[in-house]
Amino acid sequence: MGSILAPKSFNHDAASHTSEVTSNHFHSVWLFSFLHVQPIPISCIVVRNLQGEEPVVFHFPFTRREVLEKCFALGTLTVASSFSSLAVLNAFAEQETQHRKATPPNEIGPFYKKKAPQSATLRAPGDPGMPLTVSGAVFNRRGDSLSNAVVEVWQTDHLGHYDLEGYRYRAKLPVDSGAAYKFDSVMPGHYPDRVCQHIHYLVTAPGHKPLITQLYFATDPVFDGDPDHNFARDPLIQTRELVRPVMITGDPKEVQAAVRFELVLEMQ
Amino acid sequence: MANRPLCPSVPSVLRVLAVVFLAASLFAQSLKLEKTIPLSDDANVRFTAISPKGDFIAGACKDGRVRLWNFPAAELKQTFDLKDQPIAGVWFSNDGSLLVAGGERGFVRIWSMPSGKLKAEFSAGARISTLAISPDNSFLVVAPADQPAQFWDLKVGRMLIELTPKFAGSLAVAFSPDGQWLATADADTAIRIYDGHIGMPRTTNDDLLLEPFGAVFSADSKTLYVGGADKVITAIDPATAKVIRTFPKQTFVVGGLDRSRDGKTLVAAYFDENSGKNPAPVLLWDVATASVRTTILQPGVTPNGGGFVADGRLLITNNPGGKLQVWSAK
Repeated sequence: MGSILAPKSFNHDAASHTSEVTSNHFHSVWLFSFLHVQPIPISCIVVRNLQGEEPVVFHFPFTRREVLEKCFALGTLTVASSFSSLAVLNAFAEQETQHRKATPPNEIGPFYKKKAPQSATLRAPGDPGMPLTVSGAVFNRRGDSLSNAVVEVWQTDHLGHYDLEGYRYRAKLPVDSGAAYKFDSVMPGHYPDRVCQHIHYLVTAPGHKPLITQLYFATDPVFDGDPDHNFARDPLIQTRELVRPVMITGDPKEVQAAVRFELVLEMQ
Repeated sequence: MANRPLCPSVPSVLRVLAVVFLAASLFAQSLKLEKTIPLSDDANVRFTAISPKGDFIAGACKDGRVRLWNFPAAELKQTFDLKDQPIAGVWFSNDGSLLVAGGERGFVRIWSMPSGKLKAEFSAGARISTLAISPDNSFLVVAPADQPAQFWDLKVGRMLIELTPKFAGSLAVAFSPDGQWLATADADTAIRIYDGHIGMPRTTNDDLLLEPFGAVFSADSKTLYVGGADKVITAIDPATAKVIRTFPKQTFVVGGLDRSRDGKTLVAAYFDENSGKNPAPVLLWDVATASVRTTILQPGVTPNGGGFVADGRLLITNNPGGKLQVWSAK
């Protein structure tokens, strides 16, 4: 802990934005919790102890964890846990930087095929089945857009058949500068060995854990119109989050389905 | 994007019927019903493993129990109660002295045979997809679904290393008979070869486009055979990871591979990619000529386990309901 026991310093630069934390030894954990709001446009944090000591100013570029460690060392942050203070501080710092919940993983299942073509058009002209557009964006848990992510999708045709010989209904989708992706396909059929209609996803981005998951549709007849209660009818669906609402557009002669599916990756 | 139809020339139904007709005629000649084991209502057998000597059949049952029968007496020898935890599979070690069960919730239990005494147990964290035991019973590689395979030292009861693919997990694992190599057939479609004693990566074959589901080494440990969704058996040199040759492509997906003790025959269990419920054959391949020697297929009979035993027979089991049938093929 030696490195964080830096000399106290004072720097009240008028141009800087300063966030002040008033704390004492007994209430420090509770009071500190307001710092969960991130990011805060500040250049330093002042920790003022109610017992009359001089305020402590932490100047950036301290990492968030270093700030927490310093607070802990000075007694302005109390860790009440059976785990080591370092472990708890790490978890604390990690947790407060996470703004989005990671997309739940789902089994890769057969039949992934590598070297899928880069194309946002999986549906060929005249393909039977309900036209489907899926769109979304790729983020990490901090909420950063991952514009270098690659989204790979594969699904059955409208009858529930995978193409193993070629690359029908398989594609690799680079995201745009805003990390958005979009593809045109058809609503997948029911694969006979599975309960629900689904689209497989493999999402990769440098510095992040690969995400393998599946997209399900709230309109799947299996759910009887109530996916909240019936999503577990497919034993592979562990969470309702992967069952997405379906928007129907167009006129009665040309109905189209649209689904939005955001993807949130864990950092490595 | 390629837009080729699944079956460019012949409708798939006709192709399946042709295979069924051909196979049905071969079935009667190649298979012999060895034994029928009556089962109680709660003993529905999902998967079986047959001991290398052919003296035991272990069945992973839907009631969360592993049942062990003497064979060919077909007497129930022992029942291992896994406390209603669904069982993902059962395996014997190469010498038959260990029986291992892997569960849907990640547990692994190892019993000494023939005593049936519990030897070790641990959790791998997720549903056990497959596992393999080294030839000297020193190491166990267990592959949890969609997670890196784990290389365990059974002597000290400790995991030594995780075998990490680019993503997801391993679909088949195999040790070479000399223990030098360990191979994993991974969901990212790569075939990875590791040192069989320490689990360190050695070579990788990245040629396959589709997932491999089966892997087995030749008797002399110089060739690794893999097969999967590409419907092809591929022979790979484990030292270089280069493809040596491929066997003729079939209509169905290779679901699993095994080898006769003399190394002359490969057995491949196939499944229909459009549904595992559709009939699909078990093929006996002549390794020297890479040609099909025997096709085993009977409509309505879905094998749920099998393997070569010491006298050269291939035993295959199925569970048509209320009974476990054991068939043999020469």
